[in-house]
Amino acid sequence: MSFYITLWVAFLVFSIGLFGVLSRRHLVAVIMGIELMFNAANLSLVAIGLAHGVLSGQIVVLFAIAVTVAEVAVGLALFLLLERIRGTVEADEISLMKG
Amino acid sequence: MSWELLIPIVLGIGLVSFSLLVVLSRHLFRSAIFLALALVFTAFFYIFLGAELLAGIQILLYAGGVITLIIFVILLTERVRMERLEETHRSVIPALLASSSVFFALTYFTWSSPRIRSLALSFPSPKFGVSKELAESIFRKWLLPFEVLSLLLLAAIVGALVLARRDEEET
Repeated sequence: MSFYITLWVAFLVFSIGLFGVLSRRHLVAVIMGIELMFNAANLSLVAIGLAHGVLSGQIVVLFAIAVTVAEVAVGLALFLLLERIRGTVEADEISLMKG
Repeated sequence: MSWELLIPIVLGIGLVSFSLLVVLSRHLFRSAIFLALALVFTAFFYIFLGAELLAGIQILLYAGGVITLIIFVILLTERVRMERLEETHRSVIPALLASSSVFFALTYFTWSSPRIRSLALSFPSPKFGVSKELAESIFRKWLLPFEVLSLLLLAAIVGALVLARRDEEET
């Protein structure tokens, strides 16, 4: 039963993070929602790895955490660059691709 | 109610409520603090699932490093003007529809899957002290992904430095 509860919490956190990604204006808030989604995926990976009785779940999560940290560092550097060039970090005002 | 049921419920309530606060808080700075708390609760969840090494790494890297970076960038991009840290949501109804449909799809497929049910029936109690096996597995079976990952981290460091640097020749 605790397996179902863990998975359910992970799904709930994933959808909350998705809501944050879709509805926040500020780009840093968007990346916080992405962090929540990553977290939920990691949690369900650990739970399913434990249910299978293998250690690979934990190792994959270890690698995923490292990749996420790299991604956040590059993303935040991009935001700094964007703020310097365009003077804003609001998702609605960055419409370069609209032409 | 047994401990094995009570602990995930309490941790889950904490995790979900802090995640909600991250998304719903109008104050960006508070969002970051709540995100740190949600990440710490996830670390507790890892301990409950027998992954104590992951819990330590989670607190060190996420709650330590990533939150520091995020707060740093909030302060840099907002120029410490407290009135602009307030922010509103946009397109709430479509976002709510999309996220809730994703949630219900995930829950439905999990409940109806016989494979997940057999996994849940044979769910073992967590085994602690597996750090030694974990290390052996990383440095034998997963050595190539580990080295590739170090290369990726190096590329990320160089990329972040190049992106965030001020161009001397242009200005």
